[in-house]
Amino acid sequence: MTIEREAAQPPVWQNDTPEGQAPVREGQDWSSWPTYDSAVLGLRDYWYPVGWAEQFGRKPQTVRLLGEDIALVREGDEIYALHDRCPHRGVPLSLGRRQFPDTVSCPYHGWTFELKTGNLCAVLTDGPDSPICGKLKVRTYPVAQRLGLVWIYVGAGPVPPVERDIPDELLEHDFVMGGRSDIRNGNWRFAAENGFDEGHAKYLHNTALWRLFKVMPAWNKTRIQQEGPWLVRVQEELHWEAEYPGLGVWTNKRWWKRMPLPDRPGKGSRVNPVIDSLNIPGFVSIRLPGLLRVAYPQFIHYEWYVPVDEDHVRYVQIMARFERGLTAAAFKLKYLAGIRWLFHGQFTGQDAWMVDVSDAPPERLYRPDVSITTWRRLVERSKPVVQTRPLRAKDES
Amino acid sequence: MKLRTPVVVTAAVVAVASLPQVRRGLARLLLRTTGTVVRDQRRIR
Repeated sequence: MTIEREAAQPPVWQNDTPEGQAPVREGQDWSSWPTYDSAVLGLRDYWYPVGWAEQFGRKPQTVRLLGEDIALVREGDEIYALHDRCPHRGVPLSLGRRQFPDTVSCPYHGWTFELKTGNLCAVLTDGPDSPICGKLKVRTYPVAQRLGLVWIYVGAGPVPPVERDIPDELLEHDFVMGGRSDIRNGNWRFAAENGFDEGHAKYLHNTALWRLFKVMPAWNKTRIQQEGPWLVRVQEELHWEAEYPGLGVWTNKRWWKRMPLPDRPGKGSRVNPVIDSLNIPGFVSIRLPGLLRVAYPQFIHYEWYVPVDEDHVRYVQIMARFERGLTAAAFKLKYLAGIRWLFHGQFTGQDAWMVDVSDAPPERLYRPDVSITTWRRLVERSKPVVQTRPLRAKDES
Repeated sequence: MKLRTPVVVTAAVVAVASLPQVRRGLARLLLRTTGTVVRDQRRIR
């Protein structure tokens, strides 16, 4: 049923009443997107950033990715990833000791595994001739370090280069960057949908300090355009204020706010040449497996929505400025003094709040949600491998 | 003499801060205290 046809009919009560639950009508659940609906734990066969390289040292640490518990251990410049479970009694290897170089030993009985292969190479409480040695191994994961981040590949078959899952502009240019990585409440799909959601920025974020001196539109009309791997939100109509009959005027304009922002990065008066050369037709774009790009005239903000488990998402944020020298140094100071708190803190904290409290399906979408439905269609079209049975440190079934 | 002192001190601080080990230590300290990373990235390809 189209929105126009529905508009001619009387409003229908949508929520549950004391008499019972409202029926879920066609289009209000996620049955149109069965793959997406089942991807609670994320998509396999992709590289995901799990933290900053400086975070991981010789002492093993655990991360959860797509519901799998993974122990990360540094040996020199290399970082290795193993399933965080000793096959003997199920104790997490991330609690283990570094008894010998290039190995990790389970803290319980000293089962010792090679970091590179996961092979059981010694059992310290069973002597050098332990018959079980060489007969089993723990699963290892491909690891890469790029952009100061540690990336892990979860999937089967041939491992693609990590560069496949990093935007080209971050590989082909020098730049300066500031970033944060936090685990936040909520499912990764809500985080991705929120990022690419057309409607929310103008209302939810109009109280954000990051936008204190900049006007945002009151409402707009958008189409979604595919550019390579990216879906791009392209503005077709932009309205700065509107009169709502019987209610009054709605606008984000204030006397202290500058306006307007250009509706795409290339239209700014001073556009960074690298960003200009990307020819992005709109500010905001998204791609698999859940990476958002917000391109301003002078810098680009990236957000990775990395599935942790059903109810948590790792929010990796990077702001990149394609500059060197003094401009780059000034950007670092600006990032630490302001952007880190205002944009990567309070502004995206408002998003985290909504992701945490979102509860769909059932849902009732409206016109600007074309951004969300197109993203879901992209996931369906890509026929991704959905994560279903993760390797947990402890069986929680 | 008075003028040269701050120049020498600044140069010494910059030189020490440029050492790779010191830079890595400062980056770790920044990450631990603020949860933030700032860095220069050279082109990868």
